[in-house]
Amino acid sequence: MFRFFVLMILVALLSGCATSTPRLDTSQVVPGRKVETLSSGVTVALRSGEKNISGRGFMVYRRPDQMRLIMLSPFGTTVMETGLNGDFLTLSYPSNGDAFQGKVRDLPAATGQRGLAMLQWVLASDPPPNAPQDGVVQQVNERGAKEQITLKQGLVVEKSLASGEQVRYRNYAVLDGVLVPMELQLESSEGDRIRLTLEEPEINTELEPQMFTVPLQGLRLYPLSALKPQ
Amino acid sequence: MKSLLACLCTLLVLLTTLKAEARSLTPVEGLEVLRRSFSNLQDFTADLTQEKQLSIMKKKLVMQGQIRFKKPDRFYMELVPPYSSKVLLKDTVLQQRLGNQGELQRIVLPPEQGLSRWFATLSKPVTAVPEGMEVRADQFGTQTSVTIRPAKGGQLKELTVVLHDDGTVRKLVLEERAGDKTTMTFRKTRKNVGLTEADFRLE
Repeated sequence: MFRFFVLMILVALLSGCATSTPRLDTSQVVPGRKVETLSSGVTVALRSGEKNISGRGFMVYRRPDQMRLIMLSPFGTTVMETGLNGDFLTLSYPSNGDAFQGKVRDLPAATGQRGLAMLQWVLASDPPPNAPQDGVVQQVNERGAKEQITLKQGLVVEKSLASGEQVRYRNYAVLDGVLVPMELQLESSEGDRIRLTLEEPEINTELEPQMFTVPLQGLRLYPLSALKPQ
Repeated sequence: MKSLLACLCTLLVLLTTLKAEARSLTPVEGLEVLRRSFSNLQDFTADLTQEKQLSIMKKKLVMQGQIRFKKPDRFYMELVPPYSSKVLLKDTVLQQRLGNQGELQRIVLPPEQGLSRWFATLSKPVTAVPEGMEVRADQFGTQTSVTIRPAKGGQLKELTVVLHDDGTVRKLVLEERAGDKTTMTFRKTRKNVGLTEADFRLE
């Protein structure tokens, strides 16, 4: 009898474990609806070589290729801003009084910022049309690059480029009828790693054009090729 | 009866106006109020509300937490979920952990930005406003507001500190040149409570 009692408790505990795994309710998903704009608090953890940098900030994104990310110090002041408009990148460091602008391809590899320059690609997490629920597909993306996409249960869980960049998507949630990954992990071809966690995201709200402009007043402006590791 | 009531109302309005009227201080007096508030202090703790208004945000980012400070060079700040983080500053060494599982990050600040250097500066009486700095100070009721505009070129456009008569900081407003603004409001401030090294640890 005692054994039976222990067995019952064990079964109850194990079934508790099984049901504690979060199950995504996709009943609210609207077929065909995509993330057109995103605004969200973010936690960013960046690992480049021996360096580990993490911080909290805020970002806005507009499909297909506009993005702005502001990283804050613990005291709320701006440490760094990244602005991407197509292949034009702006990086500003207000506390140093410096800003850098240029084409993404001019960004020196050893700066540890290559991952940030790829955030537009990272944020595009929709499954391709007619993709299988589970499996691997290849396609040419909106920027003309060939990419490999891994899907599980209809969700994009991993993407990679022939040049070696890879992104993993975790913790999907349904926002305004769209499946959005709340955690994105990027590894650039140079080995830089970025983990981006969204906090209280809002999608498909109206974002004014000036929200994507990094303010440069009072800053010394240099070409992007002059950027040194920060 | 009506005229008595009218007189009373007028008197009340006048009294309220007088109470709220601000008295301007000279810039040196304003800096001295700031300096004195720290000179009588060994340590303090306070509950914190940090509000950040960014140019790209339609809503404010509101964070809640607690801060601790101990002379000559210890500072600790802990923010609670959903923006949980812990920050420990020991003079020039800043350690930060985002979330409960986040990796510990360590940054060494230049010596001139160390806490002990700042408080050494604050220990000397203010006799003149530093070159290039603009200071505006007002007293209203039991509070004094000191607004400092640093010399041109830096990240900060304006810093405002609101102090209570007893020397405790009530509010800190940081305005950046790019237009972003951070407001820190302090509540339940307790001074000289005997904080120890154990209160300044990142678990």
